[in-house]
Amino acid sequence: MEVQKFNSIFSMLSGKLFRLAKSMLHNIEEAEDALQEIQLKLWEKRTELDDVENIDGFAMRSMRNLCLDQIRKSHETSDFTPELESEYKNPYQQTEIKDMAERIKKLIDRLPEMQRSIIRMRDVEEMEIGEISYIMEMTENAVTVNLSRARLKIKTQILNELQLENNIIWKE
Amino acid sequence: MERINEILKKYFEGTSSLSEEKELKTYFNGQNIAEEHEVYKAVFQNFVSEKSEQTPQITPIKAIEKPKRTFKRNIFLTISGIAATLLLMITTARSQTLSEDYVISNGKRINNSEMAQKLAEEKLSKSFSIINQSMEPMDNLGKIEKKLEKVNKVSNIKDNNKNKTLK
Repeated sequence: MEVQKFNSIFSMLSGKLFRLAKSMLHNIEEAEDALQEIQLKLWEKRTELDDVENIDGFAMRSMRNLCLDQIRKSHETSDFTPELESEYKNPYQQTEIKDMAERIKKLIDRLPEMQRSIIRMRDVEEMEIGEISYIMEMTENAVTVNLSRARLKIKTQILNELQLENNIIWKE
Repeated sequence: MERINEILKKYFEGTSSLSEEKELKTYFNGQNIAEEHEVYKAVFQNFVSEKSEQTPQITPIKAIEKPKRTFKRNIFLTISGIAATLLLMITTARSQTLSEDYVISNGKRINNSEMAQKLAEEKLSKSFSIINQSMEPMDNLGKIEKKLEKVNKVSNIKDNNKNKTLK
């Protein structure tokens, strides 16, 4: 693959790759470093890229594996991310989170890594289930199940918060 | 309204299609949202805003450019090329002359291979005769050894006879 073609493909993918890294690592600087690292890794594999049918998927999969390695190295086991309920803060504690969209973002960030990555790939990046299953290295059925669980957790959490807010307002 | 409820149900089951999900995004980012759906508005608005977030600038990979040839560089390359060729010619010619057969005898160089061979053979026969001469004393040593063995045997017999008479 020639340098110009590589650069144009990578610049189109960089947003998607960066968002995936940010979602997994919870750190903008680390996500930026991961983006640079994946750029070099893909450049080193440029001869193989010519034979890859789905470059988007290949790049996303490489980025996910890179982030997982980084998480392992920093001894952060995302699967032990506390459940949403246990991290619940009442509306008074959440005064710093002014924007509702920001609150949703925080809710997604508190999901286990697998569900977090899947919901963002589908709802933010608008990827097909087949593509997500390739990146996540799991069956399409497993992707659908995890996607549904993630969406339902967000829904339950929002409804709980609203109920609590209404109760407080009613009591006042 | 029913359509949105239907898609929302599928959405939470994880079975909605991409086009249906786009419908939801358009609906929740619009103005005519039903009161019962207001609760989900932020969810779909967040997805759109997350995608529009700025991504860091990426430094593109640079191709390794070939250095441009200037006039000075051209002259330098031509001269160094000629010098290298001359050096190669001299070294090969020298190695060829060095590889010829020759013999140095009494400080003189003999290039004629026949003469050199004769000389070598003469030297070899001379060295063989020297070795043979030097081996002659060794033959004499062998003869002396045999004679000494006989003397030893006689002395042993005398000793045995003495012992018998004493007993």
